[in-house]
Amino acid sequence: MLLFLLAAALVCDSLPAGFVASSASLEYNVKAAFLLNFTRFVDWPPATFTGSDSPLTICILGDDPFGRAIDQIAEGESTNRHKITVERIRADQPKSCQVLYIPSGKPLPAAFIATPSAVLTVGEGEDFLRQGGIIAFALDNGHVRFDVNLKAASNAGLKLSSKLLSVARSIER
Amino acid sequence: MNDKISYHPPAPWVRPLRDMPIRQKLMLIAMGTTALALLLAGIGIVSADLVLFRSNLQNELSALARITADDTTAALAFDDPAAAAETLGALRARSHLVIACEFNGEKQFARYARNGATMSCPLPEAREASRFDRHYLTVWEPILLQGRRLGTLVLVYDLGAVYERVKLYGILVVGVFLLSTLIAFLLSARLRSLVTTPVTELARVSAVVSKTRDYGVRAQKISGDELGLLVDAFNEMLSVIQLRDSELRLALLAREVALEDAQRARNSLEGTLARVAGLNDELQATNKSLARSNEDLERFAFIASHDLQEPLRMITVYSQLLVKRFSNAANAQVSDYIEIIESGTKRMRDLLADLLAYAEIGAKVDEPAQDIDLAVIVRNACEQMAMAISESGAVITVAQLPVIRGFGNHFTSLFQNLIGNAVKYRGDRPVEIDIVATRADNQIRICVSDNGIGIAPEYHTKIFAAFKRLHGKSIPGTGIGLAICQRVVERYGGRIWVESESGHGSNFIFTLPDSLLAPGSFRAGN
Repeated sequence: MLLFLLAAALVCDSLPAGFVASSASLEYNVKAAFLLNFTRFVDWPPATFTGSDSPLTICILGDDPFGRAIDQIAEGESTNRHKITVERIRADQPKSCQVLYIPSGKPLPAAFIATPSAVLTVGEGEDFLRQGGIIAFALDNGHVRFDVNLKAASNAGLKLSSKLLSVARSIER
Repeated sequence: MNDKISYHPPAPWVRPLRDMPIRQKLMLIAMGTTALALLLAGIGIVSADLVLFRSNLQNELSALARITADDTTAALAFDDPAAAAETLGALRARSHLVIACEFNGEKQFARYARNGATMSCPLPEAREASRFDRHYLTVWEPILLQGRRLGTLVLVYDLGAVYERVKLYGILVVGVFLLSTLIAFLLSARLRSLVTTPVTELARVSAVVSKTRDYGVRAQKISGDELGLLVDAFNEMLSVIQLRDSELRLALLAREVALEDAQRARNSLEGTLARVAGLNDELQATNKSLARSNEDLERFAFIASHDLQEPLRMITVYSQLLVKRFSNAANAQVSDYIEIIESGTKRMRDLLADLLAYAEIGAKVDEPAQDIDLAVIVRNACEQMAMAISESGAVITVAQLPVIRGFGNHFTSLFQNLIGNAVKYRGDRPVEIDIVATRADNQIRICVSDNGIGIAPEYHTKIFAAFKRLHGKSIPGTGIGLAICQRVVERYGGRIWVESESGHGSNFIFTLPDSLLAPGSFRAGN
């Protein structure tokens, strides 16, 4: 467990020195870092962004399991000059998102299944992929890993980097 | 420009090379340059390759590190050491890569090690990107994601490859070197004859020339290069020498011939000289004996004519006594005989007188010569012959005559004889005698001319011989007169001759050297 914590801390070496991870939120700290890193291995269609420096928004649907950790991780970060912003949204009020995190137990909103949504949907568990989600977190020997539904990504009009695929636990095609 | 050819003594190591035959020199040059060029080229190639290979290796390894780092960004980003290790494991194909590590900060994240490699990964260093040491090349490559450094990739490369490569190149260079040297050897063995054959030919011909002195041989021109020019020049030189040689031989021959001729001429001249000397001796002996016999003869003539006069006078005296005593008694017959005797003795007396005179002219005179005036001499002569002259009614004209040095009685006899002859051999006309003296060509020329009967040309020389007479007894004479004249003239170094034709008078001319003239006595033009 200590190893896991250390790894998480190292992955997010840009975290402020004052940040102290509580044991309950360690898993989500890692997942928050992964969320940020996913943006770096995914190509969105050019029409997704209104401008070259328009923000890249990570939306968290419903209850937020990350807390302030994700805000701290995304603080000052950018991907391909798109500033990273974090939004918390509700299902009945969809907003313009590039990454949508759906917490465990919540169904994938239909709007994001429609093609091409150009939204990277990230959820929890293998069921999420079966619903049409693109990336699903999984725990493997206490390590955070993820699975990929490549077909869903393709339907959404997204291109996933082969490097991302090379570290995925499993890939559905 | 300096015309002097400066000679620098060769370096000591060149000296043994200098006496080497040209074919070996050529071989040495060809092989030496080839070997040196190859050696330098080989060294250059190997060292350049070493340098290039090192930098290439560095670039290649850096590129490999960058690619590998890029490949492992996801593994690092999503905390997947297994994936990273798998990516690093792909480096197995690089047999000289010893180890490869990924560091997450200072913590080793993933590692690949070649089989049997036990070394640990050197920690990332911020200062340098790569490092060469004795055996390894180490490269540190940052692993970046969106400009953020996730970690560091470390690659350690075994430099054995470099040394292997250098070794391979070395072997290759040595092989090429040996092969090229062999080819150069074979090629130069073939090609050197291009140079050595003309040179050998030249050397052979010059040896023949210096040995046999035969300048007619010529070197064969084999090539059209500088050696060919040399052969041409050599042949031309031989031609010149040949020409000179033959000229020299000819000159020598001519000189020998001339020398022989000179020798022969000298020999013959010596012979001639000896002969002339012999002849001279003979001549002198003859002269001496002639002079002696002449002297004897003159003495004889003198003595005879002198001593004969005594008995003759007796005959004359006694025959005159006979005439006186018996002129009445004796008959006419006796008287006739006595007259004949008288006339014979008179003639004999005359002859003896002339003979004596002739002999006296040749005799030595003890008194010194005197200045004699020929005009006086002529006058004396005429006085002595006054009877004969007046009897003939001759007119004698005498021009100016010179004064000469001599003996008076000699010239008296001369003029007596000449004038006497002119009177004696007169024609029908009254006798006219002219005596004229002129001077020319260092000579005094005196001409005694008459208008007498003349002398036919065939007798012009005979008349001067003693006892030669042309007219028999019709005109009295001893036949010695002109002989006396000639003897007088010749005694004084002159000459006498006659210019005459029968019936047209005679010119008796004699010359005397003008050295006989008394000073100031007879100038030219007088």
